[in-house]
Amino acid sequence: MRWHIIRTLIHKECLRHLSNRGGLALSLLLIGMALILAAFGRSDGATSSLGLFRGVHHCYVDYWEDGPWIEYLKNNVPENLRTSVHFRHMTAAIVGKPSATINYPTGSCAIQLRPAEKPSGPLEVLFWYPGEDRIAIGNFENWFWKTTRAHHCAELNRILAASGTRQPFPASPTGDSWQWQESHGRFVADVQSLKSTLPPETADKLCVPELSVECRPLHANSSGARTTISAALVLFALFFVCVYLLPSLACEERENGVLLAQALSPATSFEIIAARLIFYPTIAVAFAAILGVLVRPQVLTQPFFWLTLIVLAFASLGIGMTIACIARTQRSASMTALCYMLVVSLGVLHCQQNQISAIPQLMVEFHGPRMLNAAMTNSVTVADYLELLYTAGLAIAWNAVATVCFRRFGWQ
Amino acid sequence: MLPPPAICIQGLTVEYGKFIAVDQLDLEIRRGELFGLLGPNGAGKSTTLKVLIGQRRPTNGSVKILGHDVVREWSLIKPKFGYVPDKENHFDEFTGRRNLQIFAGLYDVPRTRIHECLKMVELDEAADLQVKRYSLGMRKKLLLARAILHRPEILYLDEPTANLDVYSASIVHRILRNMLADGSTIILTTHNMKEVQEICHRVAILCKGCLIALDTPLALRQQHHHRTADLICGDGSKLQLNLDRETDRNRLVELLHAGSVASMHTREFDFHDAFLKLTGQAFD
Repeated sequence: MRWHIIRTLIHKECLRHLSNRGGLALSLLLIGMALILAAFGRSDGATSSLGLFRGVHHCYVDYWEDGPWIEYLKNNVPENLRTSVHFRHMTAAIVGKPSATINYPTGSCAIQLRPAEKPSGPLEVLFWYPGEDRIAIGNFENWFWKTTRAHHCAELNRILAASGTRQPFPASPTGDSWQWQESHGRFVADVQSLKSTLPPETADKLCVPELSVECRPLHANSSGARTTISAALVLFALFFVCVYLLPSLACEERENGVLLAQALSPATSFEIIAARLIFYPTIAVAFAAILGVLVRPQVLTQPFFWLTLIVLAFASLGIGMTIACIARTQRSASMTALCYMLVVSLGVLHCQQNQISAIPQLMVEFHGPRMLNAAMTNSVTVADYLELLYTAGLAIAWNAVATVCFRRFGWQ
Repeated sequence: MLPPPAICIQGLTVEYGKFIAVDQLDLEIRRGELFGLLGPNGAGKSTTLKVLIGQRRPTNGSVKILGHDVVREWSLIKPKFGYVPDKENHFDEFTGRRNLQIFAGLYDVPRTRIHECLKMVELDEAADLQVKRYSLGMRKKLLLARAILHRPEILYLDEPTANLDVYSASIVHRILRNMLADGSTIILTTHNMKEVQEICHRVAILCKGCLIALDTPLALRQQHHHRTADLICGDGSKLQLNLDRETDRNRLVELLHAGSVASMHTREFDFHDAFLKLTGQAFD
């Protein structure tokens, strides 16, 4: 291999891509999408995933009277809800507007803390949720009740401490299941008090077990829609560069005879291919990494992320080279690439819906998102490394197919 | 002792399935020669050229270029030849200069040579225009500039002056003559008989894959000459006199003496006619 030839061919590829306005536009579009994804929804998890698709992504806490409770709520919004919860003092907003209606934007919910209608009546707490999606507000509801209870516990303890009472009031609730635990405890207590009024032979038969409730996130499903979309963007970038652009431009060169001109120069077939083998995976990995880093900057330091990109780029290269060998014209190359994408994505979807597990295992596009998800959510396990190894095997297989096709058809 | 030939073709046969495109072709092209390869469509010119540029393996026979076998020692031959195809093949989105820069990089040619070549084909002023804005003639000249970039020892040209105006064609001829003066060997295929007469040292005429004539254009003229005089007399009548016949010669003298010849045109030799006579086919 002669460096001046490789350098010239790589330089030529760079120039060709820089003059390809369509390709540049699509690349900028992808970067724009990544930036949008990065700008909106800094926090991941349930709220952002709901926000991007359905349910709520903003919760308005509208209150009519200030006080320590409101202050406590304001100061105790958890990190994952901080960008979603908005406090609004409503009196100022509706003064002089007796028939004022509060309108909430689409995709938002509200918790209204209205004053008591009668002087001795209870405060009104109203939960407003969109459509029939009662569950969508669950996250905010849980936070509200937990924080409200914590505030009142703190207030009671402060008063008790001030009056010299050493016995503190029950501790503030912790965990996401405190409501169910309390509810069940109350039920057990009610059953116990009922038992004390019944004859022993009947009472002995009444038995409700004590329960310990705990909520834990499922590791594999902990990623939100933001991660899913960013993984899809990264995967699409690899596909776009290696499976779409590579065969499309190679076939264009072949079609207009420039490939022949290069082949007749001192550049050998090996050097012409080597330049492409260097250029396309490098550009694909760089482009995919830019998209990934824009959405989740922390992946920059994740070795698994980089390994995944390299393996996926190598696999995409094999697919792209195979298409470049089979397709005769630029048009057929781009059509084949698009058809491939459609067939594979529908295939994966169909197999998943019909519980067919063997076929998707053979598709790089099945493993890619899983590995990228693991890398982006920083939840890489040994299983992910094994999957990476398996995907590397698939990449080798694809490149072997490309080699066979090249030997059989050349570049037509 | 004669120097070894630049190209030595012995018993070259190329088959496409059952179709024989080139049949037992023997040809020697000398160094420093401008050699014309002629023939009607399907004669085997393009196939022969394909073998010479390594795009087609011979079915039988051997081809040696500058002493190297075209199959076994292809890598030694590659840097030594230039090729001007009949169909232009440029990176249309790049400028003319950028196109040459890419190939200069592949041939490891200094940048100064790019400007030299552009100037030679008189494209230096249009060098920074995108090739897609070039006229057909400009594209053709850019092909020539690309082919001579690395000062090849052998230059293959497939219809180099097709679509060129008279002036551009003269530029191409001038460049070819300069290359010959520098010791290059040039092989061209053309359908332009005037061009063949003007610039070719020797000509091979192929028909149906076989070599049917091989000589200098002058020798072919002499072998296939055809001395005829076409006269238009004062009364408007037309006469055709064969100058090889005594009676016709005497008649011509009589008419000239009588002053009744309004116009006379001689056609001792016509390469086109000779070609048609040799190939027995319509010339395309």
